[in-house]
Amino acid sequence: MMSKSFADRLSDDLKNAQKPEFGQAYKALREIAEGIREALSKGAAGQLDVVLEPGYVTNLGQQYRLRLGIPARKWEETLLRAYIPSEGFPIKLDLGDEEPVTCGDRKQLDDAVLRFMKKPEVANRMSTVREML
Amino acid sequence: MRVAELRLAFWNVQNLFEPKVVPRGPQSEAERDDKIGQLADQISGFFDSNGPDVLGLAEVGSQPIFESIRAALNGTYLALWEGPGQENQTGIGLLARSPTCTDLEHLAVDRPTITSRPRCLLARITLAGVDEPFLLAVNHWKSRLKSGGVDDAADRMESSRWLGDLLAAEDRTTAVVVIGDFNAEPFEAPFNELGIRGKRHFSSALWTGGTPAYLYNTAWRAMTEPALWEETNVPDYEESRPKTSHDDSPGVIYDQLLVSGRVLKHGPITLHERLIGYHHNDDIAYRTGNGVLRPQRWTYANHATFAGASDHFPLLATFRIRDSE
Repeated sequence: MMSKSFADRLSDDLKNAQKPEFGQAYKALREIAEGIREALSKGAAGQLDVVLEPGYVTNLGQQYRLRLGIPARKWEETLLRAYIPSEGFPIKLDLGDEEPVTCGDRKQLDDAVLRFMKKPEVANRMSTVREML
Repeated sequence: MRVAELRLAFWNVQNLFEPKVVPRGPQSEAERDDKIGQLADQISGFFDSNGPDVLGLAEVGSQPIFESIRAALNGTYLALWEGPGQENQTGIGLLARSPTCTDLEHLAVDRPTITSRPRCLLARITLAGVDEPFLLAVNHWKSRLKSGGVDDAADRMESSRWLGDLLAAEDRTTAVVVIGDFNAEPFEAPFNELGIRGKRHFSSALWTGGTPAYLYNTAWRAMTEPALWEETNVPDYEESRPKTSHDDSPGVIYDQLLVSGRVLKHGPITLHERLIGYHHNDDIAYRTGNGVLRPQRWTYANHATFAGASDHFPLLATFRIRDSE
């Protein structure tokens, strides 16, 4: 019997190493990113990218930077940073304060991001981002 | 007008917020204004009352406060301000005195998210009569507060990599000064090969294969006791210089100055290392029972009764300006 190639073994190992809970939490964060993209792009002609970029592995878990970008303007910035532990929820959000916001489930995650987005300083900036599209 | 020396200072002025924004900041307009007055008086007294030519400030809560300090200083200053992402955060300010400095250009800012406070402000400074400018990075990295489980060490590492990557992309002949409150000591990870390389020896910064990310860290000299043991073991010993930059026990050296090889040799400014130090006097410092110097935190009762200025010492340095000797 042919032994598996390195690439196949690695592929299997990566699949088996990730806990489903991590995948669920990551999916929730991706959906948040997509929701932000959809809301900010509504009615706009230009393209807005909202992506999760993996950052450093930290004691709070894997860091993701939720980044906004307008390719046509070569502009991008980080809206927030999120940390997902190997075990999935709770996700911790770095929203610029000294302490992160802990989100135990999807609803708490949605609520925390919505609270953050409607802060005047953030909402004003998002309004400018829409104008730039 | 040409001058022979460039006097540079940095000070983390400790929670200089607008009134009642945070409990740890001023609680009234009078307190805010008295603290601004105290700081301006102290800053004007730096360098034998000549004041600084270049001044970096951290933990300033708003642009109006920054402008108040600027207006209270002697001389006309060019200014750059990187504000807080939100009201309960602080910004970084940079002042460059005219006509010694003819241009102060904003190059980049490290701000992890749109609502974070800035971690680093990178600027280019041009001096009168000197054709080569130098870069100045003013830093205020993530604090070591552990209250909410924030991964502060990783945050500082990110700041270091951000600046390290920028400086590593510069030509090796670029003159760079890096100053600030790093909330990390010279031996900690942010000063290793992955970020800004804060080295103990001149040779590392002068290495011909290096980049301006290889920096001589002048703070190593402050890491040791200022006197030998037998000299301290006498009645009423008082140390001659601080061995802590922050009001901590045991002491810590968070406020540091680093320079690239070009600032050691042949640059538009060159290091005059004997004149680097933590500025202190009876108004902004106190001594413990063992004669140890510590910064005197700001305390306020009323307009007639206040003391100290900050939980950090101001860091002062003097450079020789090229072609002016």
